[in-house]
Amino acid sequence: MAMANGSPGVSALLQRDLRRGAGLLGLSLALALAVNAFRSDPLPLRYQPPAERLSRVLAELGAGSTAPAQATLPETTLEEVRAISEGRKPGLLLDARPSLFYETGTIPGAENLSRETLRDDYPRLLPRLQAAQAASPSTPLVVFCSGSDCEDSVLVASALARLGHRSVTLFKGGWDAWEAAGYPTFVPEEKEPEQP
Amino acid sequence: MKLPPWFLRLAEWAFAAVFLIAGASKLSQPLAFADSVAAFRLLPSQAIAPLALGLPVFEIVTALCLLLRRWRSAALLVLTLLSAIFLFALLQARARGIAVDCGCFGDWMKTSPSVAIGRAFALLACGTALYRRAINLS
Repeated sequence: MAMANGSPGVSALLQRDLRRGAGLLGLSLALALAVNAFRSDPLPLRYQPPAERLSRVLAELGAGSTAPAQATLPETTLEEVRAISEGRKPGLLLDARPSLFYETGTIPGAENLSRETLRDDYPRLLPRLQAAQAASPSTPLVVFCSGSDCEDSVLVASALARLGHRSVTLFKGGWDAWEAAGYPTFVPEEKEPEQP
Repeated sequence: MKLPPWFLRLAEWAFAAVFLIAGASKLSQPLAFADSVAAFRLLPSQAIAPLALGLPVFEIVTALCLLLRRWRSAALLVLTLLSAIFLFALLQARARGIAVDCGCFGDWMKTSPSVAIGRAFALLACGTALYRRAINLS
C-alpha cells in the first residue's frame, strides 16, 4: 500500500526486503557449495554424527566392533586425577578436547587424545599408552574433556576399549572441575605448571 | 530521541561486523559447526550439512551488503531474522534441557547458553531498531 506522498508503505518495503533476502540466500547457497567443493577437506553433504565418524576411524585403526556401554566405563574422582597428575599414583591422563583447547591449558601430565583427530593422535600416543601399562595392565588410562556435558571423553574412552586397551576410566568432572578446584594448570608450550 | 547519522552508521557497521566475524569463524570450521547444529536436535539430519555450509556464507554475504550499503534494509532484515532464529534455537534447547553452545562463533569462542541467549537477544533488539530506522528513511 503506497503512502499518501507516493513513497512505498512499510508492507511493500518489507516484501521487497524479503525478496532481496531470498535472493541473497540463493546466492549464498551457491557460493557455499562452490567453496566446499574447493576445500582440501570438504564437508560431506550427508551429515555423520561424531560417534559415526569415530567408528569409521576406529575401523581404519583396526579396532574391534563392540563398544562398551557408558555405564560399564568406571569413573575416576578428582582426587585420584590429582594424585596421578602429581605422580603419587600410577596412571596416564588423556585430554579428549580439541587441540585448540588443550594448548590453552590442561591438567599437568595430560596428553592430548582428541576425538576430532584420533586418527593422527592415537598412533602418535600408542607408545606412551603401551609404556604406561607395561608394568601393570591395571594402570588406569583416565580420559576427560571439558565437563559432564561433553561426550568426547566417553567416545574416546570407548574407542580405547575397542582398540584393546584395558583399565580405561572416565573423569566426568573434566577440565571444568579441575579449574574450579584451583589446581595448577599446564600450558603445553610452557615448561612449568602455572600456579593459580 | 534523534540519533546522529554517524552513530547509526557506526551501529550498523558494528552489527555487520559481529555477523562477519561469526560467519568467518564458522566457515573455517564447518564440521564443528555442523556438530553444533546437530546438538540442537531441531533439524532432520539431511538439513544439517547444507545449513552448516550455507549459513556462514549467508552471514558473510549479508554483512558485506550492509557494510557496503548495498540492499541495506534487506541486509538488516535478514540479520535481524537470523538473530531471532538463533534466539529461538537457544531458548528451545534450554526448555528441552539440551546443554549446548550455540556454535555461533565456532569453536574459537564457546560460551555458556545464558551468555549466548543474552547475546542473541541483544542482536535481535539492535537489528530491529536499525531496521525500523532504515525503512522509515527509505
